[in-house]
Amino acid sequence: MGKIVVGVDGSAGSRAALRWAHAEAQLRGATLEAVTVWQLPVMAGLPAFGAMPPPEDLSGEAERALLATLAEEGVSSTEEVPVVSVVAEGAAAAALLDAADDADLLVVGSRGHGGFTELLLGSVSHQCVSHAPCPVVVVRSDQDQG
Amino acid sequence: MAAQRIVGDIVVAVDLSERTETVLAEGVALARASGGTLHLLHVAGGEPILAGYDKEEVSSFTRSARAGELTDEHRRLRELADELEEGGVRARALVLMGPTADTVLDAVQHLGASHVVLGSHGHGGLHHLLVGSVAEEVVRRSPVPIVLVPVRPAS
Repeated sequence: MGKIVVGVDGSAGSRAALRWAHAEAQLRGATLEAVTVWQLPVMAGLPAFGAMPPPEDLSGEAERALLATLAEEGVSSTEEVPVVSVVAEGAAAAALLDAADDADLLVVGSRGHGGFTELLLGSVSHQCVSHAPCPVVVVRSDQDQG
Repeated sequence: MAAQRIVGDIVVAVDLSERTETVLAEGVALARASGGTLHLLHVAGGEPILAGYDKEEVSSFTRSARAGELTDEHRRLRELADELEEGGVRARALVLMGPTADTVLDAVQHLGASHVVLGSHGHGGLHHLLVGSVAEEVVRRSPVPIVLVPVRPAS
């Protein structure tokens, strides 16, 4: 069974990417792996005592957000399309590339937020494309039904 | 959730280099999944610019050589399309001249394609110098999802 990996960060672009990836996984009979990435916040100077949440909270937060996005987009695991959710820590591009190592396709939204993407061809989709072990599908928020 | 994808045509930009097979394979995977028609698009460069040569015979010689090349490119593209058709994938061959990114985007629009597939690097000859810029520009301006196939620049 093939595998399609999609990067999900809750942005409109990544939701479009998720819908596209889910539809493609159904068409191809592939497993869908939804990956979300969290990072320790970078802080200049010393944070006030207790201001930094413990890492396990951030990881749990990321997982809850991912599961909520999957639910909102109607993506659930079925026999035809098993859905696996993955919470990874680190730089977004590197984490997605790791996840896509044995994938048939890596799907990304063309506009994320925060560290994900700034420009339409932001750092994540750009880095993914340059170093990807598999083809990268770039989906914009207004084009997943096209 | 049912697959709601509108099945449409797929434009695959191929440069007829050794990278073509890799790029084409992704278009075929997409077409097999969705049932859409593949349009094999080769964007041919314009006439060579001959700075410093203004002799009539040079100009007409290169022009006829270029015409021969275009015919040859279209024949190779048709052969690829025919092979795909034999394998059960609807495929058309299309050679267009013009700036690569513009021409790919025009073709997508004109054909009402739902996806565009192209290599991440290289589109032969002079375009090779502008590594990746074609893919970048198509991603930036494409009205439809784009499948970028990682291909290493030929060494």
